[in-house]
Amino acid sequence: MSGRGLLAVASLALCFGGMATVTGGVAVPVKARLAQATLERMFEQRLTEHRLIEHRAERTGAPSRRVSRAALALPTQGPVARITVGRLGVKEYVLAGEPSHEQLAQGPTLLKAASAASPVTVLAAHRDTHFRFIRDLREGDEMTLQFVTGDRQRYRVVRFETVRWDAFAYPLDPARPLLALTTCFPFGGTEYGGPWRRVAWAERIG
Amino acid sequence: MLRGKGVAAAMPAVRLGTDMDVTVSGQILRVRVTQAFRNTSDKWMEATYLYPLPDDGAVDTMKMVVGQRVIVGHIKRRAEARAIYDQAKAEGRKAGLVESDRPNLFRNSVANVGPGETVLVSIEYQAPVRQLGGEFAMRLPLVVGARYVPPHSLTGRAAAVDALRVTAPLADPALGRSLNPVSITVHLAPGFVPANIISPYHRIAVAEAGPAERTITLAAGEEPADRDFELRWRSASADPTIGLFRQTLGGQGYVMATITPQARVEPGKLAPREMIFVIDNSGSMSGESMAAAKQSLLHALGTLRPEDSFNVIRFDDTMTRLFDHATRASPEQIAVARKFTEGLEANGGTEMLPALKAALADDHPDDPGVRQVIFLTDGDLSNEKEMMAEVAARGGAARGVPGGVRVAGTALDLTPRRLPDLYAGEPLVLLGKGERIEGRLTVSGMIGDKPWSQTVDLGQAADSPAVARLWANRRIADVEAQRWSGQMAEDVADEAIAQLGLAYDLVTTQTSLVAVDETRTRPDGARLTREELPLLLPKGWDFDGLLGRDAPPPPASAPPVPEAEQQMDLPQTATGFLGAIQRGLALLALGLIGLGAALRRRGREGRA
Repeated sequence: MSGRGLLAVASLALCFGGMATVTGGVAVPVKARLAQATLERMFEQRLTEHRLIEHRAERTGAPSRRVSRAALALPTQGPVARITVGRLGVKEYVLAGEPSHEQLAQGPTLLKAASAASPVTVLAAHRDTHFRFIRDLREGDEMTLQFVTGDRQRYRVVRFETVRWDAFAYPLDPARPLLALTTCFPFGGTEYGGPWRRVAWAERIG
Repeated sequence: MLRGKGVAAAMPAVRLGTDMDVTVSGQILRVRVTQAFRNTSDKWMEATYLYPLPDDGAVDTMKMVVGQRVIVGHIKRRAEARAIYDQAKAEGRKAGLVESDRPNLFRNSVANVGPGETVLVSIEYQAPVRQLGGEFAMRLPLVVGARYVPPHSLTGRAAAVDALRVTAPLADPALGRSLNPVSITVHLAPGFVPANIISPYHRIAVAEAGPAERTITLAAGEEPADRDFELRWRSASADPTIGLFRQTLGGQGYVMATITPQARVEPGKLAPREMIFVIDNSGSMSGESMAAAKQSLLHALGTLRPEDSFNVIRFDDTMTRLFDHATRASPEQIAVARKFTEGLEANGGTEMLPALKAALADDHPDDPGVRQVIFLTDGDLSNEKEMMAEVAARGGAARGVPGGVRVAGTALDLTPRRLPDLYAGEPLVLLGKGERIEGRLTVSGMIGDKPWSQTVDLGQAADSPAVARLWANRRIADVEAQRWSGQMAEDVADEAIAQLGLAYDLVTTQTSLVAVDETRTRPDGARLTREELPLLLPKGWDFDGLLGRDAPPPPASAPPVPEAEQQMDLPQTATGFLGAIQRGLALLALGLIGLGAALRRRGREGRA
């Protein structure tokens, strides 16, 4: 084959490679949105189921709603909560389970659920998809965490911090229940890695 | 109660009242600070309170008054004192602790204050009187500015705990400014008839207490602890130029010599100066501070002579240099600097280190004349160590003016070892330790372009009980300086400071004063509640500017490190899809260029 032919073939290969990489890149936010749509359906379904169970429990004279809600453990897989920030128009469905790359591609992941002993909730999601809104979050912003169990919690953002991935710590005995939204830092970074994490801390207000 | 730091919007359960009793004898002031912790709640409380002292103040005494009993504190190594305090606290006995986290920042803790009870803690310290141009001054710091904790300095848990030690919650202005009232009495006996007694920040009442003695009190009786107290006075007759004091303690002699070079400096003879102004326009400066800093800078710009050179650097969490290098102070350049200064607005965090680095970089180290770096800032940072290391590393290259001290007839361990540059009218304060205090001490240097020297007879020194501790305190500052400049390892410096603290009964970063009551007072079942008392924001600081939305996270919201917390690893949370798209587009562009080239070549071959 002539030099010209070689150049043409190599250039074509580059073009295809480039297009494949671009498609792969563009697919990430698209998939992230599509996955959220699927999660939304599952979430609503679960919420309805829980409401039915509750309703039945009430009719059969089971303990009050509050107790039954607390007694309902969160599922260990799939969507478990919905986080909304009114001011920014954000609505994200949160998954339970291991924060694997595949899972984070679908939505925010519940790293730690609040319990009676430790009322701290920790969520993590990608800085360039689901949790990009942390960049625009401000102190005083209110957000709502709606669990599939029917439990609805309101939080207010109180402060931000930037920590290394291995230097994050949550208080064991906070004065008020806390919610931590964590994501990679800095925002606008185009690459995959980095040791820094941005954490938005919110206090429960209702 | 208050767990994290931040803003205290509710009245604290423990109220604090502070009384300061100052005795000025000659050139040394001794201050007794009595803090009354009054428990207004129905719980058993532990209260801690952060307070400032002068940089050269040395705390040596603590007494705790519980009912009719007076308990005297003892100096111990820091960890040991803490252990004694914690044990007494757990056993339900009253205990008091004085710790120091910075040379000028102290923390008092009092445990087991019963419901409705008041515990008095009194500490005593001494410091030299400041002197400038024939005017004498003492300053009682009453306020701790909110410290900005630069996020990058929080490198780990230890750093976070350290930053937490030097910060305290702030009181919401809605609580009023009467939260921590302070009363001040100064017994002034300077050794001469004092005149022109003024207090620039407080209204005072002056009463005659003898021919050369005065008693000064606050005109209002009590004032909020939101600004420092300063008192200045002059001598009614000629300005004293030499002060000599000595003390013998444990077989050693100590001497303090205050020497004011008496020479006229003719303005025309001064070598050209290079002035670097560094102005802080971070959020903490908003309010009166920013206006004052701008005004000062404008004034300073007006004093520059055409032969001087200058530069202006402004910083918040970013930094701008007005000129790339120090520039001649021509009228045009000064006009540019004025415009730059007038446009400054207080906003953002306080990252002083880059500005400090830029200011200390000397482009012409061989030029004659004095190079001065002037900071206009409220300067409350928690990472002083980093800053001091920078000054030690780069400031050493400053253009030194030769000067020296010589002692004849005895051997003296003198400090400072390297004589500092002095302003006109500023005295040189030398502290020395030796077997015997006798012989002659000669100080030499340059005034303008003329050599100067002065000799004093050490045998004429007057006795003073304060000199030994002032020497020890200066020595501790020397050790800190050696630590910052890397001449002394951390642990060696710590040990040296601990030894000095123990030998001279001084509170240092390594030694604390602890007092413990023998009797148990808290009943077994009662729980102890801990409270950190909120501080008033310094007067002139704008609360909303500091804590508002535009400001960066202030120290008050530095990551709280409550007693118990759980570490947790955070997962990788970036897809990097933008990077993938960019790389893909780059590849595509390369491919298209290649294809284009191949096609052109084919076209050429076709024609040929």
